[in-house]
Amino acid sequence: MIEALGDRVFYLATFLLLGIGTYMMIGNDNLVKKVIGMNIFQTGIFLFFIASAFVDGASPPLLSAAGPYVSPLPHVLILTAIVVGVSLTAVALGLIVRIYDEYGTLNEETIQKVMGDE
Amino acid sequence: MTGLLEAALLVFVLSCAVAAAALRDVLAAVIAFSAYSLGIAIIWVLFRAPDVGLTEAAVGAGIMTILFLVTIAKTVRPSIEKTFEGVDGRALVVSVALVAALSTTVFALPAVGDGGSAVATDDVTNYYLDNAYEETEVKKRRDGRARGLPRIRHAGRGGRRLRRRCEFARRASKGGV
Repeated sequence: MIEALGDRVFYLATFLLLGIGTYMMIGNDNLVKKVIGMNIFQTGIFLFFIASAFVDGASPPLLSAAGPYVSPLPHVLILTAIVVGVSLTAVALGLIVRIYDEYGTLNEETIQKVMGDE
Repeated sequence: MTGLLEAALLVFVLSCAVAAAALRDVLAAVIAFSAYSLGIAIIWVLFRAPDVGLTEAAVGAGIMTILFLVTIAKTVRPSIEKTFEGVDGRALVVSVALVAALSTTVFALPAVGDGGSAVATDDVTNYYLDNAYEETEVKKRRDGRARGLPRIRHAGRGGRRLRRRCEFARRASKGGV
């Protein structure tokens, strides 16, 4: 069982990263740290995909390398997902700057209190 | 494929993520996150995904850090009394439950590096490997040599051998071998 777990330690790391990301999104009060948590959650899923593509002893899917190759399909998906993640982060941070202009704070509880008062 | 290097990188990445979650100072959390991105980029290279590694290093560790820093500069970096955040019980319960639920699937997954796994043997994977070079219509040089293969200047005995290997690689890339 320990051996089987050793073969799958990257999946376990994926799940831990998902847990850390979830904790940051729920538990941290600062909005910027929530966005960092979202990014860690994303990267956890990337790790799952890239680990599933790996084949022992295979070379990267490059023209100049000899086969066998690792599966290039998850790489393509994750390449797109990284770019989408950056756009998502940029939009979220743009909203955060607007929220700060409006409320003068980035603390979630304070913002909710101000919204409740209005 | 879990050697010492992989284990050390995993520990580094996980501890950077925990540091980003636990540090109260936002700037410190951003720095921990960019160290995390760099570690993850090295893991991509170890997993034979150099393209993803390059993107992650440029975008995750580079642009993302700049975006966060600009946001902190435009808003506020709250003053801190304590170094670490307190533990939020509600969030801890949710995330531990999530990790526990996901961990029950771990033995149902194929081992990392298993050549017979569904991803490695999938039709789409093999279609990409067989046809991507032709279907992307990568232009070849006028001399018919594919781009990316080494150019031979001196045709000695070693040069001929190298040329033969290039010829082989080119035919292999066309699917002729």
